[in-house]
Parts: sequence; structure tokens; C-alpha cells
Amino acid sequence: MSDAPQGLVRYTGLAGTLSGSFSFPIGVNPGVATLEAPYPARPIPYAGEIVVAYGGESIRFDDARVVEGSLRRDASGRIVTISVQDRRWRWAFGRISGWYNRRDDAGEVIPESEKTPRELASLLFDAMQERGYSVDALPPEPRPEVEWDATNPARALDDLASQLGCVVVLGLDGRARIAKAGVGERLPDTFRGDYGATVDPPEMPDAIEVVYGASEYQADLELEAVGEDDDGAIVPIDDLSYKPTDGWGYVDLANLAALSDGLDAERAARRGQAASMLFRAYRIAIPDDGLIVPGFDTDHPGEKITRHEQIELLDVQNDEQPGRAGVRRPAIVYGSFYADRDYTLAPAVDDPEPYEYGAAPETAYLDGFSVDARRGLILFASPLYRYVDGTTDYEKEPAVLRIRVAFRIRLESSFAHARAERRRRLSGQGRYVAPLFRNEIVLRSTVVYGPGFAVDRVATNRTAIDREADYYIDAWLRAQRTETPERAVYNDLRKIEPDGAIVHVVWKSTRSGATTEASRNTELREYVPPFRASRAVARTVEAVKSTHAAAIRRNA
Amino acid sequence: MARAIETAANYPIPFYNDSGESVPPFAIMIPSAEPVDVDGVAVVKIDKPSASNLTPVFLVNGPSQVAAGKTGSAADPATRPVWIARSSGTIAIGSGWGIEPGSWKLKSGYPGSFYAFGDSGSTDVLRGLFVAPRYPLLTGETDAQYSSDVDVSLLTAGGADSGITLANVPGDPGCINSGETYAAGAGVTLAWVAGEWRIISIAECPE
Repeated sequence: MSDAPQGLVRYTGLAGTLSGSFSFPIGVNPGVATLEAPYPARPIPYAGEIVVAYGGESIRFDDARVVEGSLRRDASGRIVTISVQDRRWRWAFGRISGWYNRRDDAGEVIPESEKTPRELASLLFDAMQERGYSVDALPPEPRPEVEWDATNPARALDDLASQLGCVVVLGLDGRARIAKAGVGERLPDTFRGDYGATVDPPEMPDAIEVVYGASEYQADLELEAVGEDDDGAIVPIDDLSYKPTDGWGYVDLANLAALSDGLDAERAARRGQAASMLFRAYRIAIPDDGLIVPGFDTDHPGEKITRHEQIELLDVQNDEQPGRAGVRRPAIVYGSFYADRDYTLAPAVDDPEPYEYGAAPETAYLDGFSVDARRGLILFASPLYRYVDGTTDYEKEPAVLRIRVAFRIRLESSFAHARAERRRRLSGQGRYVAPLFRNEIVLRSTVVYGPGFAVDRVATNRTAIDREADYYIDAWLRAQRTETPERAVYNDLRKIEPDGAIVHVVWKSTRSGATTEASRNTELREYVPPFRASRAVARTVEAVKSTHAAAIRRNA
Repeated sequence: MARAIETAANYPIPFYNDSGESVPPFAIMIPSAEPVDVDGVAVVKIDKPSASNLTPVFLVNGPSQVAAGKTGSAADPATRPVWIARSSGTIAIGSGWGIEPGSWKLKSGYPGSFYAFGDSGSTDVLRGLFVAPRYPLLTGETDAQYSSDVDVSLLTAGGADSGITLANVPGDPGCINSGETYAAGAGVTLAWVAGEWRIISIAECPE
């Protein structure tokens, strides 16, 4: 190292810099310059310019701002130390809202919401008030679903880029751009003062897996008639405390006054309200030894469905409506019940077979029903029952019903949603797995029945979603790939342009000399929080916010 | 037209089966005079149509069988068309059906003036879609010589005896109570006036 400084790091209005360093990483967090100088005669401007000057040239970083300052006194007098952020400090502000690449019921992108990654990035750069940016490094093909709800656009951009194997880079020309992670220039090999391969290889897991959104199973599930008891509990109707002594055969469903026998007015009103659910409310019948859902049992061996809370009913099927791409069929209920069709008290069938659209006789309930997902109930527009032998005797009994519906399952062991994943083993035992969460990708598994409800097969979209997952795994691996993690120190200040590979540059100047330190495919951790670590923190915060928002939406 | 599903909308009137026998689905019923208290609720008592209890007010049972002494739910056929159990025969739109004594079913041509809207076809519960005028006109003939109140036998559309007799029917003051005495078997027309059946015209009544 020579005795005379080969350059200087300085800041507007701060003369006679004693020492300065400017840490300039890629990413959306601002670079930070730290400067020491004699206490100036004039106030230091809050906004100014960081200048890296060398050999008669300079690199200027305008729109910087002072974020911290301190004063000390030593033998040489009053010394001020300031920290200055480059213009990325502004990226902490702003917000953007939008939901793009939304999926329809079939998992296809809804056309009016479709945006390419470059279009998404442009929206974000615009929201960051950036000009002259470049998004060309982003791939044109995938359509990642993004939902921004008053989200910080820089964080969203960082997240989008990382999903697609890219990074956000602020160039030395002051323009922001997207670069492919791991792709860029070599470190200069001239006038190198110090060089070394780092001992910081990327933290590679044993395996990488894309974790899909909650799986959606479809089966023709048997229903049981339930009612609300006086304490609010939902129980099978035969367990209701107000079951008539002679059973439900002759219950007057239009006028339920008889069920409030002997109650005071208030309790009678409550009972009447509860009793109004009679034969209108059904729920999934769960056998004592657990409900078997073909497909789920093989996806999650050992898991059982023993509680109604484990089943989250949707109101659609997995299949699409004919001629309406992207629109799933509504759930249907079918079976053996009195419908007053064909002017008979007898049901269309006594023993229902798997429902076939268009087949006679019509066994579907057509008067409308709703799904109370919170309580796991199917609520019908009118009482649904059948008569015992509709030609000679007219006692009522619950209808024999099944619902063909898609549903999510919560695991008995953890109460977490049952999800599928696509795993790629990288090395070792596969014990240490890095997850990539893609909630918009959903495994849909549909049981196809034969006569007598024998399981014919289980149809899934596994092949299609695995193909989609492979794209994200490849992108993740690209982002992790490091040809040669390296860092170098140069005994002067010099212009080294950050890119997808050169992820961090630090310029330092003191009275005794100046250096430029640069790293490729690794961070200079002693200067700023590592790029990936800082991004991980930010993404965690955003993920928590998103999860919270999603939970609110789900409960709405 | 809602199908005959047992809901309060379709069958809003609770009733108590006081007939002593099970009321079949879609039966035509005659309300009794006094309501009965069932579990604190005033409920209309019903009876089976007979030869002597004809009023212009009818109720129709819902699709459930109602055992004796039990409550059920009914519709009023004077407010909207209702599916009612009926005897065999062809239904013509607008044809007149009525009460057959001792039966829960309507019968073609019998007194009561239920007008048919539609037919149920041949099924296990033979029904028709009927509406009843609130104040029907009946036809009959006097049972005896009289000069004031008289029993009247109601006739079917074909002129046969329906089996229903209305006792002590007051006559038209301008005619029957004029001091004249009329022969038995005089053709009369009756209407429900001021809470009772009255003869409003008689074949022999002088102009």
C-alpha cells in the first residue's frame, strides 16, 4: 500500500475527510457511507452527494442523505462522524396495491389479471419513482401470482426478482435494473492487492422443495342429518335433547311448535330457531374409525380424518364446467330424498349410485344449498327428507345424501393444512430441506367412482403442477449457483460495477491510503448485513403480513 | 308454484288432527269451530269431511301423514292453488270438484266448487292442483215441504244426491218466508251469507 491516498470517499459539505468508506451492495437496501472529518464550520446538509474520487475521476451518488451523526473530541480537535445512505433510502417509502396473475378455479391465470414478470417489475419500479430502469433480465414466461396490498414496492420487487432467480441492482450510473443472480463480470485482475477465494460457499440444503398451497381433494362424501341442540352444539338429530319420544317420523317440519312443549317463551323461541335446522342441516358423516379419502390416504399415510374441524368445505368441485374454462362446477348434493317430483312421495331412487350429469332419474337436489364452512354444515333451502315406503306409510326419515365437493383437509397430527410438495434432492440424506412456498399452486385430487361407489381411480393435476414447480426450483438453484465465491482488495479506488455476480463493493479511504474491496457471489459481511440475510428478514416481515391478511380474508 | 315440500311457506297453518284417524298426505280437511291449545299454541282443529259438516272453509294437509291426535301443517286452498288428493277421473281445466262425505279426497262434480288447475297424473298419491272460491255457490233440493227453514240435500253436477245434507237452511226472506208453502224436492241455490248457508233462489219462487 502506498503512502499517498489513491482516492477519496467524501460527502457534500464535509471538507477535509479524514476517513471514509462506502459500502455499496446490490439489493433494495441502501448502501451506507461512513465518513470522519473535522467538525465543519457550516452545517452538514442532510441531503447531498457521496463521491468516490480517484485518479482525476469520480463516481457520484446523488440524492444521498445523512442518517446518523456523532461528535467526539480528541487531540486533533472536534471530529464528526456521519453515516450517509445512498439514494435507495427513498425505496423504503411508497406503496403499491394489486393482485396479478390471479388463478381461476381451475388454476389458470385469469386473463385480465395477467402480467409478465417484466410488466410486474415495471409496475414496481414505477411505484418506486424510478426512471431509466431495465427489467430485461427477467424471464418472459412464468406468471407468478402476486398480491400487493399497500405493499412496499421495493420489497415486492426484491421478492419478485428472487422468485425468478434474479436480483435488484443499483448501477454506478444511478440506474436500477434487474440482473440474473450469479451472472456478471469477473473481478478485475489488474493491480490487485489481495485476493482470496472465500470460505463462504452458499448454504445449500440437502434438498429443495416447492411447497404447494393447501391441497384440494374431491370425493362424494356421505352426509348425516344434524341439528342444533339447546346448548348450541351440532349433533346428529337422533342425539338432540328435544327428539320426540316417538321419533322424527311424524315431526311437523312446517310448524315446529310441538318441539317447544313446556318451555317458557324465551326458551321456546330459542328452541324454535334451533329446530328450524331440522332436516335442513347436514354434515359430512365421519365413521368412528375415521373418514377415508382416497388420494389423501396415500399422500399422507398415517393421517386420519376423525373430526369435522379437519374438513374445510369449498362450494365447488375440482372439475370445470363444460364450455366454461376456468370455472369450476358448483358442489352438488344428490341421493334419495322426497322432492315431490313426478307427483310421488317416493324418492327418485332408494339406493343412490354415483351421480352422472344428465342421467335419469335426476337424483341431485336442485333447490339450492349453502356451505357453512365454519361449522362444516350443508344448509338446504328446504327440509330434505324421505318417506319410509312412500306408498303405504308416510313416516319421515333423513334423506340418504352425498355431496360432491372439493375440500381442504387439516392434518389430525398438527392441524396444519395437508399440502403437497415437489422435492428435488441435491445431496446427502435429504434431511435438510429448503422450502419454497407457492400457495397459488394447488394439488387437486379427485376421486372417480364406479358402480356402488367403488373407487375407480384418483385423478390429479400432479403432472402439471410439478412442471410449474420445477421452474421455480431451477430459478432458485440458479440464484444459489456460485461459480467461484471470491473477494478481492485493490490498493486504490476504482470503478467496479455491481451486477448479478459482483454483489458488493466497498470503497475506503484514509489518510494512509485507499482500497476498493469487491466480492463476487458472496457478501462482505463485515460492512452491512449480508444481502441474503437482510432480504430474508424483509421477506419474513412481508410474509407475516401476507399471512395475516390472508387469514383475515379467509375468515371474512 | 312451489313444490309440495313441507315448509312454513307452503303450509303455514298448524292444525290438530281431531278426526280420530290418520290424515293422509294432501287430504282435504274441514276445520272445526274451536281451536285447541297445543303446547301453548292455538291450533286449528280439523275433521274429516262428512255428510253434515260442510263449511266454505277448507284446509289441505301437507305431504306428511298426520296421526290422530298429532299436529300437522296445512294450506288454505282459497288463497292459492294447492295440490289436493282426489279420486280417480279425468281432470279438465276449470272443472268442478268437491267434497265427498267420509273421504279425504276431492271428487269430481261434488259440492264445494274446487276448480282444477292441473292434474298429477297416475301416481301413488293421486292429486290435482285446485283452488277453492272463498264463497262458493251450492245447488241442492229441499228435503220436505216447507215454508221457512228447511233441510237441503246437495246435488252433484249430474244431479245425483251427494250425500251431504245441510240442516235448517234459512230461505230467502223475499221468497221462502213469504207465507207460501213449497213442495219437497224444489231445486235451490245456496250461498254462504253472514256465517251460514242460505237459500238464495228456488225454482218455484214467484217473481
